[in-house]
Amino acid sequence: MREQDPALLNKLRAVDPARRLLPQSSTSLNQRMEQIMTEQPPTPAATVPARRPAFRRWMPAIGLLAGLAIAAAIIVPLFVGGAKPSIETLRPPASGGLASVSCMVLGSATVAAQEQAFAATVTELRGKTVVLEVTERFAGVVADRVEVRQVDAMDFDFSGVPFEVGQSYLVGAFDGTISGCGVTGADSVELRAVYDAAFNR
Amino acid sequence: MRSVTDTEREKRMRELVALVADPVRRYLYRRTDPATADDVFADALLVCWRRLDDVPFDALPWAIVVARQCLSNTRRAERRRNRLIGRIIALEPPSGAAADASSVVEGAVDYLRVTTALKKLRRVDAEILRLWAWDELTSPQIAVVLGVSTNASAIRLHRAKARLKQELLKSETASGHVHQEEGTADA
Repeated sequence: MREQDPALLNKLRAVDPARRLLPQSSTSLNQRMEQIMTEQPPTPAATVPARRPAFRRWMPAIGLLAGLAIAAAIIVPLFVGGAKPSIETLRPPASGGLASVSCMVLGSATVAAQEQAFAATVTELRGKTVVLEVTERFAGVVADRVEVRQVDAMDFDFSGVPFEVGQSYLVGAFDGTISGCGVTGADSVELRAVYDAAFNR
Repeated sequence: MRSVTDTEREKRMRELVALVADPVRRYLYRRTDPATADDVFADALLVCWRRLDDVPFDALPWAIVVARQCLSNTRRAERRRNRLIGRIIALEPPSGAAADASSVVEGAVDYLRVTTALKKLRRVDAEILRLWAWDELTSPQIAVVLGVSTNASAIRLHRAKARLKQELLKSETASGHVHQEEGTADA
């Protein structure tokens, strides 16, 4: 099939309404171009004909979750204290009966069995309450600060002396009660070696 | 201050305009009055600018489709205006294209014969012939403009040529001006 058909082409071109149309002057065309390119934002995304992004069923769920996350990030700290440190209260070691034979040798297994194990420094003594600032966590969930009732030296077996402000301790606790029997004591090289061994440090 | 990206876009736009501006403008002048053609041409350039990233390698058929759509929009708006005006005043019936043609090329029998034959064709046949002869598009380009396959475009063009020749032959026979056609054996 031949596309060119000169005779017919000539006849049709003879009746072309635009056959005498002169090309638009370059000045006029340039002015029009400048107008278009300066008046309209050149960013393609803003000018492409509206094509709505495809709707996905998971979009509302993602939006909802994002909203909840934002709300939680705002609201939860209001209830849990936000920038304020969390505080936990533990009971002191049970008085008496701690100086048993089983307390003579402290093994790493005993330390490893603690629900909570941490290092802390006594920052404050408020009456009978000792405030410990937790500096290191070995096991369990431990608050930023731990408060514990001060005990008499005679009842207290882990160091023979009560908690002292400014002193650092290694503390083990089980069921909300600080463990005595050598598990809890001043942060010494010997006791830290036992804690390190217990928690593979 | 323009960014490099803006400059690149402007450069691409100027290249596109250099390629398609004149054919698109002529396309419009062939299908509407000069004032409307100018307006629609400006609209089409604006769309080209906005959709610069969508311009295919063979830009001319794409640009003609853009111009056609702009012209359709203008005509729709014009029809709405006319309907409104028609309720207010009684309009004179618009003068026909043949009358315009006769005034432009008075006494040109061939001119009237061809334009009349074109008018007698189906609209799609007349349009495909205009795209071929006036807008100088190839079959593949016509296919893009009409939204059909290249094969269908070629077949339609072939048939449209045959129908036009038939109409021309009828009019020449009626007026007693039958003469030998040149190079039309395979039309």
